[in-house]
Amino acid sequence: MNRTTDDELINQYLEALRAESAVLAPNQRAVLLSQLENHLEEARADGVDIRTSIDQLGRPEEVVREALGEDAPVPTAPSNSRLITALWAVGLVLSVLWSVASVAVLIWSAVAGASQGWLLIAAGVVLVGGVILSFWTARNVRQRLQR
Amino acid sequence: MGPLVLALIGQRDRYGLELVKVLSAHDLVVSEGTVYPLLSRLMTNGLVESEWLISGKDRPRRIYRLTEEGKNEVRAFRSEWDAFATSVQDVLSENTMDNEDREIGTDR
Repeated sequence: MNRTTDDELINQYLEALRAESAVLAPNQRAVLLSQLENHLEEARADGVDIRTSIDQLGRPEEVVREALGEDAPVPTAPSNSRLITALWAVGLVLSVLWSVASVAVLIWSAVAGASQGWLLIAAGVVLVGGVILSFWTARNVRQRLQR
Repeated sequence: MGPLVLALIGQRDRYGLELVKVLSAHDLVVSEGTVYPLLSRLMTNGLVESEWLISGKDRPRRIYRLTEEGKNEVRAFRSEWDAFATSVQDVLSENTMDNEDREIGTDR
């Protein structure tokens, strides 16, 4: 294998790893990069094919995932998280509209008179549901915005 | 995987590539690069230490060796594993006997 090509392959891999490992603590990142650079240098000194060595190392993101470990915070995709927050916000608007509508029905049935008693009770129950739902969605939206 | 890495380093001081190749030869690791973060964790936990070995004209190599705590860990793992392997073996051989019994019982 051509030495220049080997150099290029090693540099490409280490560059990709350097970019991928930006999520790690600086010290942890430096150690990881030096370990893998060392690995590839040793492989080259032993006359092992560099392309094969790189393939066997695995993709940089796999190595970084391992370095992040189980207890490290998993970075969530921001677009996904924003979408979920937006859905909670839509839920909040709908439940507030629900509550307003049931208040309107309550007022209307109160004005219409005692003959509409069942409507009064039904609208009351629906209103309580709407208010609970409003508080619940509002709490979720607030929690997501605070993150 | 951690105990296996410790056991390999316990056999003798190893350098990274050598360690990874042994694990790989036994099909114990898919992505060889993931062994290094594991080694770092073992070092953070005080089970493994590493130093640069400079010998003659060879390029310097980082070698890994067990600390006293690491040696204790390997001993503990070995005895736990022996007990576990014996239990598994017992259960498996019971199972084989059951199957043979059933075959004898159901045959014709």
